[in-house]
Amino acid sequence: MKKLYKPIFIFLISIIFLGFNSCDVLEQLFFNLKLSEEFHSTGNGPNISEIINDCLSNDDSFDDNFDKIQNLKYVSAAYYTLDATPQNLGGSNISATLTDCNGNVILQQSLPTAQASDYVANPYEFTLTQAQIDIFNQYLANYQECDCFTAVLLVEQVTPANSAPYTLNGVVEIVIEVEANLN
Amino acid sequence: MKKLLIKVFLLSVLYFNVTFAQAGVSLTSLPPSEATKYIQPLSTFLGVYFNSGGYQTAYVPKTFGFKLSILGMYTFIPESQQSFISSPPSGYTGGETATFFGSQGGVYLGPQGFAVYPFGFDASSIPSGIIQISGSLVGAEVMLRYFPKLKFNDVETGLLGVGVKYNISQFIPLSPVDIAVQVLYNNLTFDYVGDVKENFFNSESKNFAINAHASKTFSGMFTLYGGVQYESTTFDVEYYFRDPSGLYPQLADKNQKIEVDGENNFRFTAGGAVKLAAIVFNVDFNVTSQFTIVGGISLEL
Repeated sequence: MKKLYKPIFIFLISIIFLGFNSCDVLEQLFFNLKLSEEFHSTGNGPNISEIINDCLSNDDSFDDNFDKIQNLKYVSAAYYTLDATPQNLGGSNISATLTDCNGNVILQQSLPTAQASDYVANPYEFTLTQAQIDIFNQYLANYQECDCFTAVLLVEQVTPANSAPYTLNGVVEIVIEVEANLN
Repeated sequence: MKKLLIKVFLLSVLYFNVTFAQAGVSLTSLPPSEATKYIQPLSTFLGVYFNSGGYQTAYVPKTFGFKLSILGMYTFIPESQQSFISSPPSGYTGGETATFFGSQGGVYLGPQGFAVYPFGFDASSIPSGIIQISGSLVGAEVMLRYFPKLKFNDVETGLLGVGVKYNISQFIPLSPVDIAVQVLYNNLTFDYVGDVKENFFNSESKNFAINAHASKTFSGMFTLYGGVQYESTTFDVEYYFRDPSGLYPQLADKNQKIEVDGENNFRFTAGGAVKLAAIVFNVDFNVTSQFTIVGGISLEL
């Protein structure tokens, strides 16, 4: 019977250690990161053109985990208006374009016409095709080489035509799923 | 042997460090009402964990007895505790999102942009372990689980667990089984002691249990045991709320306190033990809010 002690002891201890060491889930941290880009545009028309340069690493949560990030994935994106002057500010051929460090387009949305007030407290959610999502995810995958981007907002035929000077304050938000390794 | 025990104990504490640190990371993005729902399954788990392994027999020696036990546990988190229905602010439509043990965090679009909820840790089962010692005299047994408050990096953690058990079958002549009652209390603290106010996270898990159990030993070697237990768990948490979604300006950038009761109230335990000289091996199954299997090895003197 004594011969049984050792194997049973080793077996039970192994189970305990296996338990402690097999919990890989506690080594991975997933979180949704919301990147917000607020812009303030002023002008006299007839077109709006706003260019913003930013980097993912300017976000504290992203920067805190920069070296631990394993994977990044696009989740969703939206635009909403903070305020506009005049209140019925509108325009045509609206496009929002994001390009990476090399000028490659990584995200693009366009609307034939829109009124800024339609999106006050009622965000416009971007609808991307799978191909567009793949392009954006490719940019995210290369974040260590290039995590900066340029956002360009273009609006033509601003209305009402005699509304100058106009102002448009809005926010573009992009949600990214981050997988970080805690080790 | 001594080194092995220390290692198991340290692993146990470090395991909780990781778990709690991650709880802190996740909680910082939730207001108190949502944090309570997110962390409740963790509160339940702590209760299930600490209130497990209290006995492997109802027999208590009338003369002096000593027991050192190493317990390994495997707890299954039911699907219902891996998600909850979120309640974001007015204007948003909530939905299913992960609890601490769940997977995908919810993302909801509303008047002020996205409301983003944390992921869980995608754990449907949790292995854990604990060490305890017991001493007995005149049919009463005192059990102790203790780890002094120690600092690991920026966190300080400590554990104190006590149990008192009394064999009542000694007063029942010719009782065919041993019967005992037991009271358990376990307290775990985990405090962030660093200087970064945004990382502030203090917690205390208070666990109480009272049980009645019975056992029958065959051939002086094999024991079958079982019992019923009432238990309660409270998890007090204070954390820094960052409000990354910018939806709760009145609560943002302040410490928030929550008190989260576990869902563990009753459990039924059934198990068996084999005694080989001074070594006892036992396994038991615990039907409670989170089904748990406990395996143990004890040195009895």
